[in-house]
Parts: sequence; structure tokens; C-alpha cells
Amino acid sequence: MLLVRKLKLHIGSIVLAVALVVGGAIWQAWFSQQANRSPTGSSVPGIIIGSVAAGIILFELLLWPRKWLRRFRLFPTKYWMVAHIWLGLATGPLAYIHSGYRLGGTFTMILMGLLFFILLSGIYGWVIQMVLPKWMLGNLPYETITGQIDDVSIQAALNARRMLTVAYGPKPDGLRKLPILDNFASEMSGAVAVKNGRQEVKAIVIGAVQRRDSKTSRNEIDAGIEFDAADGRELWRQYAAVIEPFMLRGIALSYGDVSKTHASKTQASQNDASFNSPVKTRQKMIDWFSMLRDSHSVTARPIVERLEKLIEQRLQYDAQRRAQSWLHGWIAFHASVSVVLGVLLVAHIVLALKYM
Amino acid sequence: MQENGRQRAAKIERFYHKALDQFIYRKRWLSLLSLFVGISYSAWLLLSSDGALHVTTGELSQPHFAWNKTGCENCHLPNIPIRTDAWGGERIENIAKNNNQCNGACHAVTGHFEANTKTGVLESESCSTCHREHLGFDRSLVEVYDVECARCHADMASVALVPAALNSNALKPVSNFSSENGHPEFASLKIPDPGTIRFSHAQHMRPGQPKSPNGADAKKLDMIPEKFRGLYQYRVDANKLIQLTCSDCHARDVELRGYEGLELADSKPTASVQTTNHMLYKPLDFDKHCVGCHDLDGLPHGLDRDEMNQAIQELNPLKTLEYLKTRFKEPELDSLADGKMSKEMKDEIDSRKQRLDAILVNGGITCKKCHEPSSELNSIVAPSNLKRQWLRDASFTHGAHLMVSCKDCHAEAYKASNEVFDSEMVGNKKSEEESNQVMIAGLAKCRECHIQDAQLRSQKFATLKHVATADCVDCHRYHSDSPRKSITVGAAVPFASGSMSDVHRFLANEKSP
Repeated sequence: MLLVRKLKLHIGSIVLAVALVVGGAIWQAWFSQQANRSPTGSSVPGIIIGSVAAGIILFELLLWPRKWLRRFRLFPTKYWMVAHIWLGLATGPLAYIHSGYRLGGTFTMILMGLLFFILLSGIYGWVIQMVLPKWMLGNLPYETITGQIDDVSIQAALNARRMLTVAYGPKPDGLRKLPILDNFASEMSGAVAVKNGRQEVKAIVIGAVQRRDSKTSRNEIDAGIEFDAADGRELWRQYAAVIEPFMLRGIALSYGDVSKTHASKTQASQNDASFNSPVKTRQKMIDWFSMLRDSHSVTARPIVERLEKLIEQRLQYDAQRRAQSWLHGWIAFHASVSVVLGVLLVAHIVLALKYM
Repeated sequence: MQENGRQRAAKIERFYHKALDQFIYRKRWLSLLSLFVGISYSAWLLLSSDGALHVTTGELSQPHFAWNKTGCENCHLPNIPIRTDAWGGERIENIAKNNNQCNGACHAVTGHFEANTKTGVLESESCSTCHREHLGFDRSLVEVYDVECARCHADMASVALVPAALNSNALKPVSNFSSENGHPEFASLKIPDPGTIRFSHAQHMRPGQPKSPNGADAKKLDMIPEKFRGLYQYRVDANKLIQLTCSDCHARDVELRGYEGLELADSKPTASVQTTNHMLYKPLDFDKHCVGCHDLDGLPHGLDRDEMNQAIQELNPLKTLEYLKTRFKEPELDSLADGKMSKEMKDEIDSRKQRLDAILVNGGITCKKCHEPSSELNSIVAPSNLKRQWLRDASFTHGAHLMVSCKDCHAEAYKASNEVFDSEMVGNKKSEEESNQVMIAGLAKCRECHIQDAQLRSQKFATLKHVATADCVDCHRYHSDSPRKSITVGAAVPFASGSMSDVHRFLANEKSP
């Protein structure tokens, strides 16, 4: 696996971590046997092992300020991370050896508990960061920058609207109202080659598809197709009722005729509607679009297929968001608990030296 | 038209990376919150008195419990390690400073055979090495781990000042109680009974207490004075013979605590007998335990010389005449000379004669039935020297052993003996042997229940009736090197003057010059 492939990078830190733990355990055991007392944190090996563990914790915390000091070209990040992982893992056993294999009082128990949760979250993060990116690469071809998902979704909706407008004309009256996306339309004007007039349309880009193969990176509709106007109203209706609400769910948008507060409420209710959307899972989406295809003429199929792709893209964005939260959500916990541990470690050192 | 890279790039906000990602946002706020929590908690630990409750590694024991929150400095000197295995804690000056925290205003600690210990050995001993604190309210500070004793006692040559003394039992190596060579036999039990009372447990445990088994002299309830029958009415067997039990003579004393029991020995507390619960047996009392069968014909037990002389003088002929003169009239007194006295007067004279005989004739024999005559001029009988505390170097409390039958540890007292115990035969060797026999089971018997290994103890718990720990502190204490002294009762009956009286001569079976 990844670790095996990069063993050369890891081996130094692994050896150092194992040597520290095994050496510390042997030294502590030997000393306690000589002293005929149970091992303790205040013995010579106890203090030195504890100091080493504290030093490692300080080094681990330095990973954060190191980001601010990147311009000084300290060691490459990969070395920092490898040392962070393996030496960090060693702090747990080292702290336990230092304590004489006891948890002690409430304060030291809290310290050990914090260290345990830090290690646990770190291991979780390490594993998840080895597994998830690989999974995402294979399963989320529409992956984009997570922070831009909303923007890309809006642009995709704009593209879809334009596509339907080009194919069937503007949205007929009497259908469900769509949110205002004009501001976004101006932003993307340079990116989408849409020329005014139906006969002049050459191609329409309908999303930030990132797959590298040329076949799917293009989303074109042949300009020569004669679209059946009868399909237009029904497709616009389905688009306004199902497809776009699902694509834009969770995004605060204005409907133009209501106050901002009311708009949020409207959007919230839309979100609720999208929660019960017939396309909320991939399987449901396939079934639903299959029905949509069957209920329209053959000429509408390319349009339906592209709308289907937009929904699939949105589903993948959702999956990407979840994966991102798994990938990065733990860091907030890991870092904040590390900060507490760092502060309490100072208090522990002061108290231990005073009441040794 | 195919999307080009520029078009695609334009879909993404140009400076999106400058916007705060939700994960970064959360991380920063949580870290700031954590920093605040960490600093607040640290300040509370360092500045608040309640913080000590979190810093402490465990609750203090009962005697020190008042310092649980605010008394850390009473024991912990700032920046001086209290443990001897701590970095710098092994320095003699640090040990002395720490020991002074205990040994001073609060504790008056005595030494431990300082005269016989090499220099530097006791100086390197810290109070906290043996008396481990922070192990909970109920943890006794006296519960010292065996390993602390074995540090020196397993190899006495390394710590004792006089290697030649290693031959003595007290300095034999002791590593643990359970293993065969881990603990020497009880030296106290090898010393013969110093008591001078001639007594056969075998005889007294026989039904009817005959001198020989199934002897004709076995006592039945109706053969003892009526006033004592109530004491033994529930001790009668099917043949109406009295069957004594241990508790007929050995009555448990009140449970003594701390050093109370030591006052009996009229000595300062010794390491040997310090204990928290100390139950001894009351001294034997002739008027309670013996008089039922061994009536002295009206002669009180334990008379001293003055009382005895006074009794003799009261009963001698001259005093008798004076007494008769106060009791009878002149005509009746005249009959004394011709021998034709009244029956009443004759009975009175006979009664006084009998009582005098009880002292002068029978008295000597009766006393000697149990007592050795004293070789001292000022004593009538030798001191009984009955021991109350048999184990000199260990404390033993019957209170902790009440669930065990007396017979389990004192089987010799129940031994069926065919020996004829004739107390009147002075010098009977067999009787002497039994009287001098220490009827206490030795080390092997203790080991049957006292098992050191916890795992083995729990295993044996399933099969044995009773199991107990076998820690050093179960029996031994540390803080004293006072001379070992046996606790005895029954001191010699002293004479007021130094001359040997007639009574003494009678009791010694000597003829008057």
C-alpha cells in the first residue's frame, strides 16, 4: 500500500519512534528493578522519558506555526508529516511509560485522555486521508473545488437554462418560479460560448466536468437538430419543479419579489422539497430520467441526457462534500485538543517539579 | 464547441483560496476556545485550593485526610523530591529534610536497631518509602509492602553492623513468609515455658479430670461444692463427669488498641508488640477458675506474709484462749483445765485447730500442688511467670483468629495422654515436661492459612476454610529497637521483711529449727 511504497520515507521515523518506546520501557523497567520500587514519573528515566514525550508534543505542535514560516523553506512538508505521524504515535506509549504505567490523579488522567483522543483522531485522519482521496479519484469524476461547489452548481443551472432556452425558447409562463441568477450569468459570459439566436448555437457547456477524456469533456448539441416544441413545456416544467431545485439546494438565492428573510424561508422550503426529490439518489435519478426520456420525443433525448448528467454531477458534489468533511473535519478536533494538551502540559511540568 | 482550460478556469472564483474554508474556520475557533479552556484550567489548578484535588494522585489516608485540599506543603517541600527513587530524592540531605516534615511536631519516630546497623543504611530510609500515601482514605499507612522489609532482611550481612550476630535467629535472612526458607521458625516458641505453675492440660481436658485416663478419681458435678456447681452444670457429659473447655479458664480480655496492651508489661512500647488491635487473654484467677475443684479448706488464695501470720496468730492457742474468754463465761472456762468442756466449746476449739492445720499442715502441700516454693527469702512461692504474650518479635491477636478453633493451633493441649499426673510427686519428670511445654503450633500451622501469593490464596480459598494474607506487617512492626521483653503476669508474693517466717518454712516443707 501507500506506506509500503513510501517505506523509505517512513523508515527513519519508524525506527526512531520504536527505539524511543522500547528503549524507554527497558530503561524504566531496569531502573525500577534496581530501585526495588514500582516505576514512576519522577525517577531519572521517568523524567527523561517524560521530557522526550513533551519535546515530541512540542514538535508536533510546531506543525502549525510552520505553515506561517513556509517562506523560510524549512524541511519539506512530507518529512514533517512523516515525523509528525510516527513520533506522534510514540508519545502515547512514552507518556504511559513515563507515568509508571499508571493514570494517576484527575489531572494526569485528563492529560492521558486528551493524548489518547489526539492519537485516535490522528490515526483516523491518517487512515482516512490514505483511503478517501483514492476512492474519490475513482468514484467522483465531477469533483471540483469544494468551496466552489455552490458557484459551479449555479453556473450549471445557468447553462441548463440557456440550453433549454436555446432548444425550446424561454420558460413558459405559469410554471414554477426560478431564482434570479443574472449576476452569475454576467460572470460566466466569457466562459460560455453562447451566441444570440437559436440558429447560431454551436455548442453549450453545461458544467465543470473535469474528466480528462475528450469524449465526455465536451457537451455539445448539434445545431442542426429540430427540437419538438411539444417537449419544451414539459421539460421546462420538470426542470423548474425538480431539476433546478435539486441542483441549487442549500444555496441562498433570491426570487426577486420577496424580502431577503422571506427568500431564505422560500429557499429553505425548497430545500425541504429537494429532500423529497425524486432524484435524490443515483438509482432514483436513473429511474426518473428514464421515465422522462420515454415520455418525450427522440429529439429531446440529448437534452434529457445532459440534464441527467447535471443531476449526477450534483449528486457527486454532495458525495464530495461528505468526503471532504470526513477528510478535514477531524483536523479541527485534533488541533484544538492538541492546543489544550500543550497548555496543560506546561501546567503539568510546573506542578510535577514542585510536588515531585 | 469544446471547453478550453481558460473557460473552465473562469468558472472558479479567482481568489477562492483566500476565502475562509469552513474547516479552517472551525479549526481556528475551536483552537482559540481550547486555548482559553486550557489556560483557565491551568490557572485553576495552580491558584485554587480545589485544584489540589485534581493534581493529587490519590486521596490521602485517614490520618492525613484534613490536608487533602490545602496541605500539600505539609509533606511536599517545594522542588525537593519526596520519593527516594525520584531524581535527586536519594540524596541524604533531601531524605533528612523530608523525614523532618514527619518526625517533629507530628510524629515522634523511634529508630530501628540503630546500634546494630551500618552507617548510612537508616539515613537513606525515607518515611515515604514504606508509608505510601495517596492510596485512598481507607488505606492504612502501616500496611508496608513486604519488599520494603526484605530489602534489608533478605540480606542482613549487608546492613547489620556485627556480622557475627547473623547466627542469631533475629538476623536470619527473611525474604517472605510462605516459602520454606523464607522465614525462620518462631524463636520464641523454642524457649521452654518459664511459668512455674505445675499444670497438666491433658488431665484437665479429660472428662472428670482424673489423674490417669478413666481414673476412678474423675470428678462428677455433685462432688464439687454446691456453690460452684452452677459454673459447670452445662459441662457435664453423659456420665455426669465434668468436661472442661478452654474458655472455662481462658477468658478473652477486652480488645486493646495501639499501645494500651503494652502497659501491661510496664514497659515502653516495643516494635515487637505494636499493633492496632491487640487481644490477649485475661490472667488466670484461682478464685474463678480453680477454686471449684481446688478448695483450700477456707484458706484464702494469695495471702501475703502479713495476712498469713495474722491468720496463724489468730488461731494459735494463746489467742484461742483469749477468744474463748470473750465467748464463754467463767464457770465454763474452768472446764478447760479438767477437760470436761461443753460441746459448744469443744467444737469451737476443734474448728480453730482445723483452720490452723489448714495453714500449717495442709497449706504447704496445697500450695505446692501447683506452685514452686520460692528460693527467695521474702517469697512464699515462686513467681508464676505466666506469659500473656508468647511471641516476642511479633504481635499476635486472638481477636483476628476467633473463627479458628482453639484446637487448630493448640493441639498439644488436647493430646490424649496416658501419663499419670501426680502433683504431689515433686520431681515427676513427665509432668514437668508437660508443664513446661509451649502448646502453640509453629510456623507450618500459620502457613496453612496465611498465604502470601494472592493468586494461590484465592485458589485455596475454595478449599480451605480460612485464608489470610501473609504480609510482614501482619505480625511485625518497625519503629523500635527496645529490648525484647516478655509480658508476664503473676509476680512473686513479696514478704514485708527479709527473714524467713514460720509459715514460709511450713510451705517449704521445712522443719522448724
